[in-house]
Amino acid sequence: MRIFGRDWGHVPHHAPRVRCEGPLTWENLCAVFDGCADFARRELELKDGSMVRLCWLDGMVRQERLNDYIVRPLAAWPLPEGQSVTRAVLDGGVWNQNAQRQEELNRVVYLLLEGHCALFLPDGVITCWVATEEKRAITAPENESEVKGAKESFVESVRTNTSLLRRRMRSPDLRVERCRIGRRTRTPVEMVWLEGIAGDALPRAVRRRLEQIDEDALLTTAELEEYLTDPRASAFPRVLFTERPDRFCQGLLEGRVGLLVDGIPLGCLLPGNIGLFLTATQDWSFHWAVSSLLVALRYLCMMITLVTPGFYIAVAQYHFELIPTRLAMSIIASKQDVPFSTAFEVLGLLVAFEILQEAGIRLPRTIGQTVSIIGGLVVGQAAVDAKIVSPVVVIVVAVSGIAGFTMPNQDFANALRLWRLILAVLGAVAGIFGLTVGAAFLIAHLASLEDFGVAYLAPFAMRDGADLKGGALWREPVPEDKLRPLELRPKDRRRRW
Amino acid sequence: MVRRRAAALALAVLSLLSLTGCRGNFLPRARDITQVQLMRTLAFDLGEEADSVRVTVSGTTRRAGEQGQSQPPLILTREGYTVFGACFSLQKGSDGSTVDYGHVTEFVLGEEIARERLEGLIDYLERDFEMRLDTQVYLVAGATAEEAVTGSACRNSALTDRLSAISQDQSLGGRQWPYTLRYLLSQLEDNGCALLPVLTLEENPDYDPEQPGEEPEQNVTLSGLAYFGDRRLAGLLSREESRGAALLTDLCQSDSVEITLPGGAAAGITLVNASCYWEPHFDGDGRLARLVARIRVQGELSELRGAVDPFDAGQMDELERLFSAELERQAQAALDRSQSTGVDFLHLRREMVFQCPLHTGELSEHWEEWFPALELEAVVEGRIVRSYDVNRTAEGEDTL
Repeated sequence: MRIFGRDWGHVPHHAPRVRCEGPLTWENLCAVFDGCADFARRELELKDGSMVRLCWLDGMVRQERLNDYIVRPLAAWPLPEGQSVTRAVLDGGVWNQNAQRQEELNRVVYLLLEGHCALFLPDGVITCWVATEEKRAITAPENESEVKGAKESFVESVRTNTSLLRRRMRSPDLRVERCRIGRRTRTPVEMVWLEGIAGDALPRAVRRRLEQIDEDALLTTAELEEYLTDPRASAFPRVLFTERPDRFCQGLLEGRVGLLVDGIPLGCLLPGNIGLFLTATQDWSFHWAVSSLLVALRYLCMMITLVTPGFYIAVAQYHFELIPTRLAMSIIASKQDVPFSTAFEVLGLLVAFEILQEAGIRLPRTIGQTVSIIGGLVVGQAAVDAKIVSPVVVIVVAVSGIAGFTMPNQDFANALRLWRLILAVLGAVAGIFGLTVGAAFLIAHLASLEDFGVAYLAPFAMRDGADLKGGALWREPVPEDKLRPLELRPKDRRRRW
Repeated sequence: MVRRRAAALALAVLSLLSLTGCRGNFLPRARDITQVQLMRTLAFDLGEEADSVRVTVSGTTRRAGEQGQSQPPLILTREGYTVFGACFSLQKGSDGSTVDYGHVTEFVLGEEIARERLEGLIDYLERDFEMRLDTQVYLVAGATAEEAVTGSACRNSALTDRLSAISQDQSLGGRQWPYTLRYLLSQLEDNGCALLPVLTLEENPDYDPEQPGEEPEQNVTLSGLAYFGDRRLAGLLSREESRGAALLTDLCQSDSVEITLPGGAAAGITLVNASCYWEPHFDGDGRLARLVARIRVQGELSELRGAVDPFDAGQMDELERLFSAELERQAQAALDRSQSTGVDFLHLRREMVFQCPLHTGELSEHWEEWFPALELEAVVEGRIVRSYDVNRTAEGEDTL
């Protein structure tokens, strides 16, 4: 590619998938792991004098399993006469439920990477599963804490996570399908859904999307989400990441498909729509009337956090006739000695607010709180005293920011933060006209989003809002909430009789 | 790729659009709220030159920082052949900031302009996009509107503060102050007649010429109502006539009535509620011959001085009778003034049309002929509902 006469060089296409070719021999295997300090090997002499070679990746295996169930039985084991060594080992020479005969070098390499050990016998190769199960303990959720709910959250081990689901959903209909993503990382990803509830098309479509992922590594949520959703330009999340197994099960019971990724302590539910991101698990813990109020409050807060800074700039710079007279006088009095324009004040403070928020998140919790206090109280108060910003602007930005904190989903709140800034700029450029254009564009954008056949604005945007009943804007009493959401097209629509 | 091309094309188009110079017309022009002077009061007088209008605008007091003293309101005056021209030229006379009329809450009319050029003034108030229908309208009697604005301004208050206090204090039963531009326009539209509150100026005894600006030179007080006929000021009502007119038009304001009882005792009664019902009497030819205004007034006994027992039913009935008679006399005076001047500022024709829709045609056709000969009568039923005796109720029945 040449840009302004400079050749930035040609980037070749992605390299083919990593594959180890050649016959399965001890030398070839050692050559594959040449230079790997954690590649461990050992030779054993059987009772008949024949040599056995054993290799594994240090740290990936549990030493007790290797010593007690592989090395010790082999060393003490009397080789039966007239039988092949490999057959004899498989028949009880090692005490391992996953002992398997191997023929391909490539497969043995990847089994070693997953915590198996390889036994090179005189007449064959056997692999045995001796992986370590070291993992973080199951702890209470950090970001989705709940007063009246379970205190368990997903961990990094995908198998532990599926066990958390199985403990809640004791049903053979729970389907768990495994695939691997990542040329280099080969990360296990498990697709979970409830047979008989989720429609056939949804798991099929998700499976197809997963198969199309061609990525070096799968280490973060974005590497998964941005392949599963389209268009990627939208800042709004279309996939719900939750650390709560009960929330994940709720999604499955609605007819959604879940994904669990090894190494990521989150469950991923899809498809997502706006109602999903504005409800929290605690909504099903409180009285339905209280929960309905909270849901309505979240919608109100969504509007406040989006519009307030832009609206304030618009009315203070273009349409101050809209402000009640006494309020207008107060605003003027508070801004009397501030040298900056309203737009500069609000946009500057919004950016400062984002910086403080980022600083608070990146720092350790205790220091983060200190930063928040210093930023919010000390710097804010000092800025007002120094006449750099007016108190009204501090209030406007603070109200907008605090309203954003009521969003149950962080990804959704982040999208609102981005759009809040855009609407504030539009309000500064063209007043209410700009704000209206921005809001219209936002609504059109949200209405255009669709994942796996589900509109993002469903159920508002489908069947003229006929399916609003049932939790979109309010929560019904549980016995009356009889049907699953229609937009997900579940096989079994009825939830309860 | 297609999207990138579309985005690049859109960017190119936007860049080219910005070069056309259309931005100023396409987007609204920003004016920061701190760069404008919010005007609260617009006062109109006749100008010194023939056919000219003198416009005086006033803001409110300005705070000069947290520790600083308040500044007197910004007052600007201009003359022009049109109200719009005068207001527009005021923009150039301010201290570098823009004058904004979007927050004007009171119009004050001078007596002369109200007599001679109300029509043009109304046209401006109707057409200008910054003027609001909820803006209160007052008339200044015995002085010019400009004198009312400048004389009542000091470091701590402006005319708008005084008028705001008047409108809030005088509103009866929590109702909004009725005399707004909307009221004036609707009344004039009906028959060219209307009522407006009258302000008068009094010397402020606390004013110290050695410390100008500390206290207003003059106090503004509400002295009654003015009546308009044929879309111009027709005359001023006395205080008693004004109360009577307000009772008859259901625009009664919070007020007090002092009653002197036989034997030297006196009572102060505050009006708390009033309603008027018109009772028409047509003769055999279908002619409106008699019109009776039945007014029910509720009062609150605020003060009782002398040998009167508030728990004595007979004495309280006598007090109510005197209270009713006093208000009846005032209402009758307003009716008589309307009839004698031939100005239907009570809008009796409209009332009759609403009450007797079957007579709409005759009323419209013969009103001018019938009105001077009409027998007008006011009957007031006054009731003291709040007194020292808790057993007295609005219906006159004992609760216990």
